Amino acid sequence: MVRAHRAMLALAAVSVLAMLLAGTEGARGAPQASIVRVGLDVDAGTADPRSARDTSAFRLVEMVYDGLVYLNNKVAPEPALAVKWENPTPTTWIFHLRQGVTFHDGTPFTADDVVYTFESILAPDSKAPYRALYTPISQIEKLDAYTVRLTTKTPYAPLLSYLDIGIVPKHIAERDPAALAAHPVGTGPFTFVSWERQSKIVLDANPRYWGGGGAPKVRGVVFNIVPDNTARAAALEAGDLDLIHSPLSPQDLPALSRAAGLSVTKMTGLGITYLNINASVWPLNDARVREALAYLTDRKTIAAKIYQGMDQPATSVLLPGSWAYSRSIRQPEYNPAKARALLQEAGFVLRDGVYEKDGRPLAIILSTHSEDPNRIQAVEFLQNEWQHNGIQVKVSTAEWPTFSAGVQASKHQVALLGWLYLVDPDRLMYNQFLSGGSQNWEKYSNPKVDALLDQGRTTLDRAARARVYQEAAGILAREQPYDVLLYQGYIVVHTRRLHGFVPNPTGSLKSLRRATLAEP
Amino acid sequence: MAWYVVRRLIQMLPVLAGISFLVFGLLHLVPGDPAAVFLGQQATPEDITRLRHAMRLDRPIWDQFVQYVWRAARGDLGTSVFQGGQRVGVLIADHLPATVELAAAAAILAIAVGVPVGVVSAVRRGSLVDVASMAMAQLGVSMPVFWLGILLILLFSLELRWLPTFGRGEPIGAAVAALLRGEGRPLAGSLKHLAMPAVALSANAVVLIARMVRSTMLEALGQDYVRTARSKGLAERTVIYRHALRTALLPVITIVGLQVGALLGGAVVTETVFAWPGIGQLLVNAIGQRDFPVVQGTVLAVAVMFAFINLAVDVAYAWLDPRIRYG
Repeated sequence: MVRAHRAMLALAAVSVLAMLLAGTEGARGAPQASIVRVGLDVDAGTADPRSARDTSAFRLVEMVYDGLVYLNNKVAPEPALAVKWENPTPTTWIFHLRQGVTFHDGTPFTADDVVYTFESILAPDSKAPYRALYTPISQIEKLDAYTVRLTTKTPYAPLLSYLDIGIVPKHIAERDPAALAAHPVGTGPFTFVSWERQSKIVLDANPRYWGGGGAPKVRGVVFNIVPDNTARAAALEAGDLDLIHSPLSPQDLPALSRAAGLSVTKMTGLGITYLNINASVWPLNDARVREALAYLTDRKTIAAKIYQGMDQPATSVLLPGSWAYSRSIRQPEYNPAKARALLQEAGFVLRDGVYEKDGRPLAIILSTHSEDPNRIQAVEFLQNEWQHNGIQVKVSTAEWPTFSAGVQASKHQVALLGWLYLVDPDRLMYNQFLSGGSQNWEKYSNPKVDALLDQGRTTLDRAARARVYQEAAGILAREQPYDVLLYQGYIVVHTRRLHGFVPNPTGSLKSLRRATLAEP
Repeated sequence: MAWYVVRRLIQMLPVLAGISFLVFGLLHLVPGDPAAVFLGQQATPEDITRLRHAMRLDRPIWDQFVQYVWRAARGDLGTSVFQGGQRVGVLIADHLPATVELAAAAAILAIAVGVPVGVVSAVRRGSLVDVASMAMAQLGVSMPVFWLGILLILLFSLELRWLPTFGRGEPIGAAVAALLRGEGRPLAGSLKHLAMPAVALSANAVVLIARMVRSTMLEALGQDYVRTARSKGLAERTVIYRHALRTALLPVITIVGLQVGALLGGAVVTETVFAWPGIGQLLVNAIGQRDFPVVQGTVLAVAVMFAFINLAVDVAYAWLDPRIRYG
């Protein structure tokens, strides 16, 4: 009896094993033909373009939705849902919309959707994180089914760069906004299929896409959420993913660059890493002390050693890829002798290796957030360098919500943090350096800079704007409310089987619609 | 016994209420405003004020707590602004099974490896097997989970190409159902996805259980009743497995219970390394964002599970040791 029982058990075990083995085809399921598997670091918070706030949400919504314009890989606005636009006066913008476009549910796209999208962003109960970018708009009118007029309170030059935000279908968004957040319906090149939270988002090619080149050539795109940078890089190398992009860990780059089947593209992104220097507290309220700190900041070493060349040492608040950039505007470069001279000029004397003035030691608290190990290393590097030159430095790190609350309340002294998605100089300068500006956490104030920033915002001519921003950037480079450490790099690594993909410094993966993926 | 279980279940309620109160209080004590985190650096103070109002964060804390408890008592754990207004209950239901699956696999692995290793080490005390397994144990306990995880990925995914680098296959229940229909592929996929995370997560527990079993076994083997059993002429196998091990396992049950709880906690790191879509990832992200409803909901869910595991341990005690009776 017992023996028969055992024999039965053994038979069952063998058959289960056989079935399992029959189910294994190689190590992993063969990659499905022409579905691009993208690795992202976090799950998207929402699929509604109006409330998108994390980079993954942006990657998702720009595939499913279209904006009035598209920011190409030179970050210049190109026609998208708007075929053309004009400024009859400096405060009015008339957009002529593309006809014959339908949302993924078959409903035609019209001016009503555009009016609704912007009105809902500006509504008093709106939860749109980027609402402030659109508040200069005073009126949105439908002139006819395919013409829309936007009126701004004063001329607002950066507006066009912000009109890449996805246009949502009024008929769904009005009725059930929560549904749209979980199940996006846009006009974009890819349609939404499914979303497993914290795991993957599946998109199919939209066969009726209006854009140049028509329907995407790949069958679909899958966003896989792989939070750990090193694990994501390994997944790409192992062939479980086809494309990953920033954020990447600098230490993973050498292996990725060496891997035979992978292609690595590096470019300057649209982000900066900087020191926010509180100009309202002693001793940093003395511009000479801020300038001295800039002379003690070795940006080249930070970029080369901590960021392994992934990011570039910065020279000013203007991004090198921007039309406003000028090579001749430069923050103070690493020079300890000049720093010491400036500190002496400001009345500090060196006593027992520490500078002091009127009996008060030159002591600074240098803070950053704990989520980014590279930033912590950078802060520790600066601490060492500054202490070496007679400044007492205490490092303080806290997780982002705590750290950023402190900075936003101007309770910091010197804080290391970053800005992203700087598609226009106004985006990095206006609210940050205008006296009393909403992001002027460093409490910097200079009437000349205020006037220039207003001028830059209200002048529509780009060449004139460039001159204005260069003048402002020159003043900021000397007075140092920000010490811009790094221009953040943007890096895309993908399999060589992927052809026709054009990386975009905004991080957009929308050009996957023109790409093809060869069989392995 | 049934009455005992019912009483324990009722006793859980004040514990859970206490945990809710603690979590709620702690969340509101730590700096960082959910509205400010949600809207990001570019938001204006007016935007933040408006959102705080919309999220009812401008109400007194006691009022917020009463509202929370009142709704939670009716099964409504709120919604997450950070997750596009999703219901917290739905988020937990989506993520909890993955974590339970991972923790259960790790627990089974820990027991299946830890107990035999402990027994063998005790029986062959001082032998090569004993020394080698205890040395491995030392290594296992001192290696951080994320490091072990990356090493496993490098070996089994990159070098050998046996196992997938990330993610979860079909839920194990669905995969077994498919197997019963004669389809083996889903289960094979699930087990392959599960293998590395389960090994990484169980490493610590294997070691603790092996060392515990070793020492309790050594103690049991020195007892009079073992000597009696041997002198009766019982086979050594019977002496070890029927007599010594059963007694030796009692304290181990407590460790296993605690370890299963620790596995739920340890799953946070493992889930991140292997992109396992479980409740640990959900919780860590929520804490980092100050997503209060999600933190409160997930901690409550984990607390409920922990309480049930404790109850199961106590019931197992009675089953293993006839001297223990609950009433």
